[in-house]
Amino acid sequence: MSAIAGLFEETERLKLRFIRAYERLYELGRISAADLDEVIDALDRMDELSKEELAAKLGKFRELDLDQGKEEARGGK
Amino acid sequence: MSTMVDSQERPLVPCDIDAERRVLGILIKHPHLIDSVIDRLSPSHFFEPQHRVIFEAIYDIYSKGGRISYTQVYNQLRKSGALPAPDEALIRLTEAYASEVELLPSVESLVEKEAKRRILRAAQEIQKMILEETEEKLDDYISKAQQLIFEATNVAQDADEIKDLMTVLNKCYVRLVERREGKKPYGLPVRFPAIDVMTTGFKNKDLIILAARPSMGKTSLALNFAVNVAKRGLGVLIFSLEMDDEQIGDRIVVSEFFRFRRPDGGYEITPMDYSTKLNERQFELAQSIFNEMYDLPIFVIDKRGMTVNDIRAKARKVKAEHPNLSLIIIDYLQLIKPPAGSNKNWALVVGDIVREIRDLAGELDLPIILLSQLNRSVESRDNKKPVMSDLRDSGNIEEFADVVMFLYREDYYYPELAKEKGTEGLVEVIFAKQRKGPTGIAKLRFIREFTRFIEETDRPDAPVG
Repeated sequence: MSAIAGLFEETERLKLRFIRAYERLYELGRISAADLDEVIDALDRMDELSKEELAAKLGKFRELDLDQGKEEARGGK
Repeated sequence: MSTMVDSQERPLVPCDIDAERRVLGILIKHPHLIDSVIDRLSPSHFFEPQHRVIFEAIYDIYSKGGRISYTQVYNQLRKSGALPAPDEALIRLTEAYASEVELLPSVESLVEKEAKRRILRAAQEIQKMILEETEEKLDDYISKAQQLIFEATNVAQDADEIKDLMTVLNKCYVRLVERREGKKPYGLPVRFPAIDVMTTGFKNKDLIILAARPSMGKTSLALNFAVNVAKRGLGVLIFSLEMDDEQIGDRIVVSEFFRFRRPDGGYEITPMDYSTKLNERQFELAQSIFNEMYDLPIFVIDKRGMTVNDIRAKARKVKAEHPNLSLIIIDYLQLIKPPAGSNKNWALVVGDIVREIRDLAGELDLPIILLSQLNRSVESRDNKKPVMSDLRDSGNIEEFADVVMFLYREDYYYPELAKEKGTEGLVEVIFAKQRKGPTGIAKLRFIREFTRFIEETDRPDAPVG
């Protein structure tokens, strides 16, 4: 597999892992189903979006209190 | 790579798991290639259950005109909940292939493995059927086994269903050239010009109904067809549900005696002579006919109470052993045994039988002539020439038949009148239906004592020489 083709595969794997991470957030109740769909759509159309558009779509989750999620995860153990 | 999966959960079966991954991975990465292979693939081509689910997801998105990508397939699988960890399954696919050129060989491999699995399943069903003794007669086992194998081997041939016009016209052109060069006629001529002109030969895959009231000469005409076809080296299979093999053999021989006509109008050897004691000269003549007929590729199955399954099984066997089999004659429809346990009324049963025989003609790619009785209603009306409605009480015969031929002899109903008019022995072969040709009447002459049909122009009272 060429380096460029390999890059495509690597990008796809990263996207899948990224989506899986957001799905986990959805399962924890930290984001809504609509949020998850938006992330999936953004990642799926990543090539069509500008860097700014992508940052805007994904950046809205920066405000999440991820520490709360960690606490919940610990508490769940 | 060919794989025989061996674990406690799965039996040893032909499959190619790597090819399954390659196909799925390539289809997701290069969705524009889906159109080129989608008609050859179905979920059953994927042995690995996870792969089958992923293919179904791809197919679902494709059918709805959606965008195919790893992300969308993941989303589809996530929503359906069909796979516990779709991300892991899809990530494995991204590592499965090197280039899109691997797609077609991989699809070939899946098609081949799936075909082998089907044959294996059929073999297992046959084994189960025999071990559990589900049938009563050996013939039923043979028929069912052939049916299972046929079904298992027939599915994979659908890939060429869609043909472009160039392919179709190419075939037509090749046939046209063959006809022009005299290599291959359009249909199968039966060497009665009056009939061949009407039909341009019986076509492969066609079901031809030859119907008449009893003693009109149905069997004789069919046997004359058989001999004429076989004399060209083409195989003919006769299912005789009424007459036994010897009766058929005698008829074939006797019908040839017609040619030994003496200048005084009599015959060197008559059917009566044949059934008694022949003199030296007659014996020599009879021997010459036997020698001529021995090599004819005519196969006879004389068995009463045959079902369509029996007929199909035996026809397939003969076709497999003699690929030049070109015509099948079944004598006759009303003697074919309906399948056991059928609750349908007779008309529907007959309709099913006729449809199955037409399908057999298509499967074996040859014409089948199915002889049939006509309703008694013919007898009760003034005009006794058969019409389509005389078949109607017997299922959908006319609907399924490609050609419907009736025999009518005036001398059968009105012997005195026929004598007066000189129409004794005159037979009207009425073409009441022809999908690929005109309807109308062909005239032949029936020499009843020789069970022989001849062209009307060859009438025996014509001047000799």
